Amino acid sequence: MSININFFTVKEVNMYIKNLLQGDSLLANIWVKGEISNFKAHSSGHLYFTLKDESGTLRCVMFRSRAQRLQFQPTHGMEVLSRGYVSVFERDGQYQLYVEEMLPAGAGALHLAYEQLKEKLSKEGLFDQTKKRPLPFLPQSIGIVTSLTGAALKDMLTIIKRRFPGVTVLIVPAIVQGKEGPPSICRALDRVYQEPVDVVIVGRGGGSLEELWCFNTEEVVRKISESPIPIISAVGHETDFTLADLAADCRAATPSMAAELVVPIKDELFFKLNQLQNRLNRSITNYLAQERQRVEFAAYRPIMRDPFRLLTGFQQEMDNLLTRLTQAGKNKIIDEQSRINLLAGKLDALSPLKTMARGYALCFKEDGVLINSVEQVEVGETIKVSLKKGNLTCLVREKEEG
Amino acid sequence: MEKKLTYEEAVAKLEQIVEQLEQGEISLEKSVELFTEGMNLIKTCNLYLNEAESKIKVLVNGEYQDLQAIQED
Repeated sequence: MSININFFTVKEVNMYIKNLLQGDSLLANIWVKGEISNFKAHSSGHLYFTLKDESGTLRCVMFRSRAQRLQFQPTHGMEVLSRGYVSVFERDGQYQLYVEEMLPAGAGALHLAYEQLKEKLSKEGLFDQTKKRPLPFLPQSIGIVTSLTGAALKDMLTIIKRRFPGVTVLIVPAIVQGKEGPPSICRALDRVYQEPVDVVIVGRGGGSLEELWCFNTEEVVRKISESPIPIISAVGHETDFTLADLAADCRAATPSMAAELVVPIKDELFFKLNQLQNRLNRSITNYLAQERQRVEFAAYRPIMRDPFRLLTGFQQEMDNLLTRLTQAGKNKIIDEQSRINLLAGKLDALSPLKTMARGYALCFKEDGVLINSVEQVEVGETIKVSLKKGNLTCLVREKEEG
Repeated sequence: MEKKLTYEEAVAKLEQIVEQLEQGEISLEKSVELFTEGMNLIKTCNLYLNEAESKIKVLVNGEYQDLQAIQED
């Protein structure tokens, strides 16, 4: 007997269901809230438990690798939030939640999530002090990302206007609480990053921890840390610290404080500028006065007032020199005269006239050549004899060798 | 081209010039030059403080709108 029925194996059915479940996008990553029961920590490190509420139960498993990261000790009866995916455990034909992350429900969950995210982003260096940029001293324009309806915006605008009337403010509205908050804030930040603003303020007024939660979400914190423009976070009141504060270049305790940080007081700048202008004027005036005084002082020195004094010295010198020159000339003439006299005396002593006066005579040939040897003349030659007084013309009659 | 000074840079430079002038010990030409530069810096600073007229705009759907117009809606 053959039965012609199409059948499936158990395995095939379980696989089919498993595929169905795993193909569902909601079940692939889901948060489930419930109370822990039948909690069992296996020696392998895996955790087995069920989550229950009034209506029923859901089997859960948390593998060791995930369980190791738990920041608290889950126990029977505890209200928790579990995130994971739903799939089939084929051996038992049971679907179950494969838990990847678990938090205590309520405020504790927020705190835990905060600490976890803080640690993670801190490790990535998002909060590094070295990344902090100084705020511009005097921004030309300011971008504000906040809710249009909150008091925070009004406070900021009032303060900015009071401190520095005239600065340009660009408001990019965002939803700042609830589930829509984070994506809305991120969109607004992305937008304002493209605007020609010198500084950005992102924030909101005070509220409950849950209301401020947007500023502790990973996407918002990351977006703030990625700002190409110096950015100030201004969330809630003084006592509220958010991860946004850590990621921003500067934390303002409140939105009003942010407004005070972001612009200087114009009147103070004017005052300072006026002071500088006065100093500038005074310094150049003083300088010129001082230089003028120097010139005047120089001009009133006696030498400048009576320039002829300069010449008196020279004149005296000239007179002096002239006297010396004259004296020197005179002396020279006297010297020369006495020298000439001396020479003249000597010359006189040597003069032949003197010799002739003693009776000596000079003999000349007819042509005027002085005769001092007999060899110069022949017998019968006529010669001239010059005496002291007058001349003789004589005939040579005889020669006698001397 | 010379980079446009920010207000802060302009004031810092101005202070430096004033101090230099107050200390003296510079030539007349140099001091007149510094003074002129100082006056120009004052002009720049004043421009920063005066030029901007109050503009508060809101960016809604990619368009700039007046804040008052939005709040009246």
